[in-house]
Amino acid sequence: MLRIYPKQVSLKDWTKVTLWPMEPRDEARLHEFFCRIPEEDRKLLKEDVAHRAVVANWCRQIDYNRVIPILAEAGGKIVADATLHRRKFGWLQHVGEIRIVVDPEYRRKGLGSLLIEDLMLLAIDSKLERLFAELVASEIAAVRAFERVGFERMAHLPGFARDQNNTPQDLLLLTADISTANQPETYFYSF
Amino acid sequence: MLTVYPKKVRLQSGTSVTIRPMVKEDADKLYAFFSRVPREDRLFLRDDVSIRDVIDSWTQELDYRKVLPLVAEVGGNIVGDATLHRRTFGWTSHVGKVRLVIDKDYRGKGLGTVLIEELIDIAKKAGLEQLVAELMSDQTGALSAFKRLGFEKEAVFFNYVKDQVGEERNLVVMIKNLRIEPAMVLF
Repeated sequence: MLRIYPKQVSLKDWTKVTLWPMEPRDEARLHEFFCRIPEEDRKLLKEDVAHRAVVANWCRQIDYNRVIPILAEAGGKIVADATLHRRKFGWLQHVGEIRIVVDPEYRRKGLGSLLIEDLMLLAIDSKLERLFAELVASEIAAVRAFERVGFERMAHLPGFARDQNNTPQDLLLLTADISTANQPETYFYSF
Repeated sequence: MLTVYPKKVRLQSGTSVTIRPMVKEDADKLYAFFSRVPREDRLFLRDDVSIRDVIDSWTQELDYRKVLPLVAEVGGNIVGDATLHRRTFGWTSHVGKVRLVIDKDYRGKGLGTVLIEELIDIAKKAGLEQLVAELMSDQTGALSAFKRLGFEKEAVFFNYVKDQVGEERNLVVMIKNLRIEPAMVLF
């Protein structure tokens, strides 16, 4: 499943990007990447990635059965981190969650969409049936990227999230049904 | 905030229950409690509690700032476990999530309501502003208990979760705003 990596892709502006699953040796560069992410965006993450210890912990506990982190590199730097999270047990074990962070300088080039597509294919390969994503409604470009590949808005929670100024922001919960993708003669999306 | 515990409460049936935060020494009792929980109910949990290591990792890594587990005890046995989960960082650090497991023999006696009320109280004192609970639409008893406690149905994920035989069920997301307290709740 992960054998297709490392993989080279071209963005809209022909920038060459390499994608591969995170390994322990990526720790320092991943931390540098998160430090380049503006604080307002970092606040939207679940953990405080400005702390080296948080990143170190991820790199020490890599378990692709639980979390598949795909990193993107361009010009010698990590420029995006996309993760597919799943549970091994319980009523949500057929549901995967996607989270994506892209370097501000590499946004609007289609990199986020490419990563979402890659994670969707990995999710289908690992027999997941549904995908979930949580986004702040004001991140319009990100919401569109998810909707383009088949995610639908399941809930709109007004004022549920807080940004770095403690201002309420609407939260969107998106899901995609990928359960038919493993059936023969069904095409999930066209290239 | 936790100095009120241990706390004794009396259920409608007259049974006296002790409520207190989980401690390291609870591992054995907790494992016994989860072994009594029917398999179909264990599925609502995030982890496979039939594995002893799972329980041990909870009791060994207690951090009340992240997860506050309250247990209900009757005669030395744990009969209920209610947890308040929160994030110390990020866009939802003002939001808590509640999860609840009640021993089969102690359902329908108001124990769940008592435990959730305790968590609501703790959440308010901790400065949380919203509480979230996730339920399956078939858990009608729990749904109405949460509703009575001021939780509102915010979203329904149609055919989103799976029960123990792989049947798809609806997931209901309920949210309680801790800042707005209704003047009166009509039953």
